[in-house]
Amino acid sequence: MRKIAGFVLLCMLFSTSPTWADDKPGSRVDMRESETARSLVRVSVMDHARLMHDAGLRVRFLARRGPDSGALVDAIWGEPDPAAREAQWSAWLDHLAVSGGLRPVEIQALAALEETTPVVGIPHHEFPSRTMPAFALAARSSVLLARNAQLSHARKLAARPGELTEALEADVDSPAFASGLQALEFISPELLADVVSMPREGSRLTPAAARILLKAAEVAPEQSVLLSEVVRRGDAATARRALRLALERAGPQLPEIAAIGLARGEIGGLALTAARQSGMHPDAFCWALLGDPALGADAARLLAQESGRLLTEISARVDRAEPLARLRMLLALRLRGTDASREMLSGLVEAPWLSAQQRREIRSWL
Amino acid sequence: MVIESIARLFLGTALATLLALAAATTGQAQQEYRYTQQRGGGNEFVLGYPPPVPVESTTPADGFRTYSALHARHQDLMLQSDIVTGAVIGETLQGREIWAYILGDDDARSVNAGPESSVLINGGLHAREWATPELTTALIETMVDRAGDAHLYDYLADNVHFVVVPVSNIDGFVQTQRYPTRVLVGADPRVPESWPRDGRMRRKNMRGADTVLSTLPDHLRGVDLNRNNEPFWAASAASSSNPDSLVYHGIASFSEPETRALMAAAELAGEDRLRWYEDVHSFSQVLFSVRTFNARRNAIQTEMLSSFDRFHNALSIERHGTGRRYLEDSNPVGAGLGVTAEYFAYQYEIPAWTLEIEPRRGAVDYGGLGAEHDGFIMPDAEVARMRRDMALTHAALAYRQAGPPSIAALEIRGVSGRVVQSAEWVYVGNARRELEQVTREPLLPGFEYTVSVSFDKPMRWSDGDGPESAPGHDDVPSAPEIVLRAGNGQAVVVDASAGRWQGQPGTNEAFHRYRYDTFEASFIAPVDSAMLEDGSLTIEIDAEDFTGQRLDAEPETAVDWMQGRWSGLENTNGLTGDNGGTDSTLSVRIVEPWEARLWLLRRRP
Repeated sequence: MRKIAGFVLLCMLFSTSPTWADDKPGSRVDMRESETARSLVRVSVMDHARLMHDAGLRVRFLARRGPDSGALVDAIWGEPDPAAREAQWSAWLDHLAVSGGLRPVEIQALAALEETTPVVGIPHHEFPSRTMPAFALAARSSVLLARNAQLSHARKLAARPGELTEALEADVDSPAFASGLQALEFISPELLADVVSMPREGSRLTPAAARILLKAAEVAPEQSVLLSEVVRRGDAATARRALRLALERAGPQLPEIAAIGLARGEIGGLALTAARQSGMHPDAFCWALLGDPALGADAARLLAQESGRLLTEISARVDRAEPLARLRMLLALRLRGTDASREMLSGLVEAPWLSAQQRREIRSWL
Repeated sequence: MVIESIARLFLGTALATLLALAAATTGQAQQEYRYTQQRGGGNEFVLGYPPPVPVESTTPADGFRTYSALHARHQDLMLQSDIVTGAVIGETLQGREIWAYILGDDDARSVNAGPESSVLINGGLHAREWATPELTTALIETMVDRAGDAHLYDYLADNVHFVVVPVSNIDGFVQTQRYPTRVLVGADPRVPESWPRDGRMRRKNMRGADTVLSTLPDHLRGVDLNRNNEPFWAASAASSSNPDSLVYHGIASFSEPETRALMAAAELAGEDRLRWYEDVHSFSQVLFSVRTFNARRNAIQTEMLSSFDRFHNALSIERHGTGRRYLEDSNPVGAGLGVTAEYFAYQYEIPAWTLEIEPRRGAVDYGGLGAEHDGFIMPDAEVARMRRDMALTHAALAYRQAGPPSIAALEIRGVSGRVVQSAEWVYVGNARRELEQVTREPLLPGFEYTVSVSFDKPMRWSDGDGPESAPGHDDVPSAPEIVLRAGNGQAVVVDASAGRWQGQPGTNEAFHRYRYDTFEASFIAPVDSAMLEDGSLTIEIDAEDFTGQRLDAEPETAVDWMQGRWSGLENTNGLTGDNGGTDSTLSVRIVEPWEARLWLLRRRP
């Protein structure tokens, strides 16, 4: 079987007339790749697919022979053809990527792969005359090692509450903090309750506190109540993530969370989606938001999509509305896109409160 | 008997082949796959991060927005802002309007150099490359957010006709967003084993395809809009005549309404005013440039691309601690694939390229697991950063391609602040300027003066604090070199090290039009008789804009773009070219000491 696979690969490599990938020194993405790209063996996308397919079969075959991953690793190292070997490593990485933790022999192999340079090149997806490395073995190995290190550290922290506290006090962009956050996936509900009961003073949460509360809500649905606090007091980016999680969960707190979101313009239009999803009709909350610089366009969108009395309300409101709200009313008419809304727009285009440029833009809608 | 057997064998083989072909073409082997964060069982591509799902928010989110939210955002900004104008440039196959937005003031003239230049940036040509409509939208949003900065963005609004097509393949984009995690695998003509098609991985437009993922026979259909263009339409093996191919070039060049819309966008931009075209794609973090037979255009393009690379890489290091290089990779001259950038490069003789944005290798750059085609799936967490950084990089490039700088005005003031001599270049039409000079008093030898030189663009970068080198452009001199030269060649160099660019926030420093367009330095008028014998001194000024473009040495002829090169750009010796030089068009009067005493007497009340 292996001989056949080797023969097929040999035939394939010779039948595709390997070419030097890059004949223009310095045109690659960085120096390391510039050095390696010249030595890439270029294969067509079809041959690349075949190479991957055969490598997948081979790795599955080797894996079926027994649980000893050391033998599998040795077998791949022993593959004489460099292109086939690289493809087999890639298939092995596919397998590792979806497995649990790594064993020492796998860690050792990944560390060695981090130092390898690419062998096989494939045509760039947009400009096929250019060649790019087919298998990012070194980068993928680094990712798996980093993920494994973080996971191991997180499991350790989960068993040592004192160290977990320290990790959660580290800089939010540090690996220590990331491990601490991941550790929340493995701790007991009691310990998680302890973690989230940390003192949280001031009107705004620190970025670290916001992320901890969000993570707690992610890993423990019973902590969903924390989402409203993150939306209310977290930094805008974390608040938006909390809002998205609340939308996915669609729990009973959603109306409250939506209301909090609507009061924080910097979170943006997601708050309106939350309000809508929580059962509020756009006519109930969107008209008041039209003049809001951050939320008004989303309010106009929702009204255009769903308001049953869009034209009537606009007729009644437009003359006494704030300037920005007026423009959003026109936007809602535009987005509605019916003959009636266009007719109303054509009437409003001569309104004295429009600038000459605004008038031009609205005419372009008609 | 033998013949019959052979015939049967032949017929049998032919039948088997036909059945195999039929199976391949009707897509019987196709299966639906899903992109997932982690393994869950079934057909899946495991990303290692949450597969992005677009959100219904017009304002920027930490992720991707739906097309309808993006479109509402564009229209809202158009209505609110007086520097955004919109126009419909075409209609997709499914009847959606394709919009282009012009960023800038509503006159078509630059401040002091005649008609404005224009640039055209296109996004969303390939449906699955979701990061590109976010990038193009960020160009519009940033322009509006930063309007009134009296610096870079006001300069662009005043002087550049910046045209953005945020999404050109709208139907395809909407189709990918309809199925944000789902694809079909098993029928791609080249790589049936693994290449995902349609759903999240649709690349082409929707010609011949319906919107339902489960109807298999049509799901490979569509035209690759980046293979549908002249002058190299169907001229390369990199495009295909097979309608199921990922790179199907269509039945004729410009057969698709989306590619024809780009031609309309060029008309909107002003075909004779275009100076730069970019088509934004993902991924692999590289700039695929088009080289033509015009060597000067090619050289200018290479300089631009170098500026792009240096700026973006350094900005990324400054802000995030990680560099992102974008190196040029150019086409051979006279060859191509049918991409839009080739059309603009050859048709309009302007710098034109395909920008492939990050990631470089695939989502492994962001800690992803290396799933099939994951380079097209930027994680939500990376979108806001990419948007912000790319908006600035594009602003810097548009600034550069607006043209090399030239001197706009000069003032010399005495210590009392009184202007003694001044000069200003005034545009008079037909690409010409005239110098208007006022001399109230000659320079008096030994007296201290302040020279204030104003340029026609902001000359230093600023991120809000004060003037500085632009990211990646530390080699650009931080101050102009100013020399007073007598007719006999003797010269005095003004000490610019103690000078300042004017316009720092919190000060009342006066600038000409934009912050850091004016440099001031003090000097003592020379007393050496050899410097005074002609009664006048030439002021030689050498300076570079913040991307490193040298001065137009002869402001009388305004710089413009013509036939793939700069026109009206002179070097130190007065020769036209693309590099600029030292301006020596201005002079000041100076008197001998005895005459100076008379001028002093005149000053007395």
